[in-house]
Amino acid sequence: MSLEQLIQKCKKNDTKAQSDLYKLFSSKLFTLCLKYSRNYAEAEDNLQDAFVTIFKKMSQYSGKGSLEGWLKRITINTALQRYRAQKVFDIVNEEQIEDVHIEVETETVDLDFLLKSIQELPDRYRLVFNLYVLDGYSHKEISEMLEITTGTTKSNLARARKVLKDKIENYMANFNSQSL
Amino acid sequence: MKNEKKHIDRLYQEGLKNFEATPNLSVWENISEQLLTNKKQRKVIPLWIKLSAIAAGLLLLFTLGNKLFFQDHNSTPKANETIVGTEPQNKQGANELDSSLGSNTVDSNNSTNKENLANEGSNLKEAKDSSKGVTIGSKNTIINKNEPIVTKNNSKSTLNDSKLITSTKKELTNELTKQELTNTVASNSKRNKTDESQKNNISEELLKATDINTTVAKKNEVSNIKKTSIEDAIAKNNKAKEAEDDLDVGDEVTNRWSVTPNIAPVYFNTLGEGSSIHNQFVNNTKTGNINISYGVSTSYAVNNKLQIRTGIHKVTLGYRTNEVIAFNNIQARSGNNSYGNIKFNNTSNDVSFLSVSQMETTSMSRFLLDSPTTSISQELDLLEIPLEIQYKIINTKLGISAIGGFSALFLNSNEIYSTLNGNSTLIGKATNINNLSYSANLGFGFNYKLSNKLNLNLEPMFKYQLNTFRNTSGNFKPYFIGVYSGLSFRF
Repeated sequence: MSLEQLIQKCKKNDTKAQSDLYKLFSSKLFTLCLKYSRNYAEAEDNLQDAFVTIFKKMSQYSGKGSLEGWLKRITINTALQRYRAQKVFDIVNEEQIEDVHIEVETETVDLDFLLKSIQELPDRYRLVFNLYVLDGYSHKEISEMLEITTGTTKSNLARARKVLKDKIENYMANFNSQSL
Repeated sequence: MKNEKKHIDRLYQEGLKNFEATPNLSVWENISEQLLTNKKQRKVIPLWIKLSAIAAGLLLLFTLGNKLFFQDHNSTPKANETIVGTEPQNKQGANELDSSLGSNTVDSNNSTNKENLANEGSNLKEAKDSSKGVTIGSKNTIINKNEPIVTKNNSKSTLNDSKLITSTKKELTNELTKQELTNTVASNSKRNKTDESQKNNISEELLKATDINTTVAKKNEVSNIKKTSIEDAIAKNNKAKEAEDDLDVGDEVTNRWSVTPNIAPVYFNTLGEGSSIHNQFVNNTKTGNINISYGVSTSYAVNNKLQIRTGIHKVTLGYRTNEVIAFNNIQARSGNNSYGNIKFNNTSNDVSFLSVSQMETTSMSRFLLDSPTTSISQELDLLEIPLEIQYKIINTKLGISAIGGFSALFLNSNEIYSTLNGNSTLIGKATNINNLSYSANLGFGFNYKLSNKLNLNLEPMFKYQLNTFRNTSGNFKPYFIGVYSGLSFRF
């Protein structure tokens, strides 16, 4: 069965087709959810909500653009809806953050740690970092998606990078001291 | 250790580039549940319809059964009444029969009517032969053939030999003897001499020759009445006699059969540590489900202490294997559609399970550790046909009895669910369940006599399943306990 046929069947609410579609994309979208969520459980909730929306809105998928892209957008939107309402109270003036070369000394950093460090970011930082760094959205797009100014998105991104850098350095220090 | 400076964005982009995680099985369960919410709501209704249909069916069965059986039972006192009523009738009938016998004798002399009579006689004979009335049969031969008294004496002796001992019977036999005597007189008189009075009788009868057919018909009727009333009397006598003989049995003998619709909560579990699903779940905790069993049983009282009973019950059994992690794992079972004794359905093809206790020994992503534990529910739908013996220990208004026997269990459906937070998803079926298996049953019965025909029962039963599962792991010894309650109707 081609992807086109699968989409058509999903539009008719065919249970088997829905299950197949889920099997095809659940891992990819779950990975996405893990990055955009605070933890594993919330990632599952997001994935669940995303798929319910996907199957509900399947008839709106026109076929323009890749299905995967469409599914990813819905998944990201689901996560955004959950977290963008939650305000981040920054003590530091967001405009003031300087975003210069933030570089870290690395060897291989554990994948679980990378994910965990993203999940531990404040909601808005996490969203902006994900959108900009991992999913390639521009500051303008992000500002529209999150209904904030581009200045804020830039500031959020810089803050996110700083937090992550500290975490990784911390992690490396621990790692080195353990291996010594 | 290579130390290089890397932009933090690149570190994350590269680090997470090939990262892929599979969501917990429960996610799809929840999604499909949400998608099927409407369908599920519709599903709930048929179950109630089903249950109420069964209830209505049972009700109908017992109203009908009540009518049929209890009417039969009530007809006995009615029969008594008719018998009382027919006693004088019998006398009348005998008198009439006497006279018709007389006419018969006369007619047999008359050659023209002989054929008619023979026909009528054969009719009579047919009718009477079909009946079991020995006396009537022999009388019939008397009427037609005018056989000597020896036959009648025989018939009399057979009468005496039969169980007609009671007063009613004696009266009847008296009547019969009288009748026979008159008959004898008639035939004797016919043979030996043609009396003037007899001749008068003959002329009288000849005058009635045109009415002969009707007379014969009437005679037919009379003998029929007599026949039936004799049968009734015999039946009544036999009954009375039996009742006298088995006075200590009480109502048991008249109400040997009983039917009991019953319903029971049944609890299923295993006696030993083991698993019917997979050897890695041997030590997992198991939770027995409480389900419902319902059906009808019928019993036959051999005597006042012992009953044999059978029936048909629908029984649902289930248990949960706890502390299991379910996850979608394509690699683990590539192409293989089964896991342990589970055969997965199409929608759950790449599900795999892991016992929590096995987690430490298995190198799994830490996300699995985070994931909530599910449980595997196994549900069996069985049709149970028991064969049990019930022995009454105490037989008073509140009776106590011991019950023992076997059940044949026919597999109806067999399903395995994955359960998370109370939400169940069908994932497949077990491959190791026998279509026909047996159980050994043991229990106690408490019954409260509401009336002679109605009993309230409560029977806690323990049923040990002998061969329901194949290829079990560990010491899996399934059993179920049911507390059967029901109303039994005797008839």
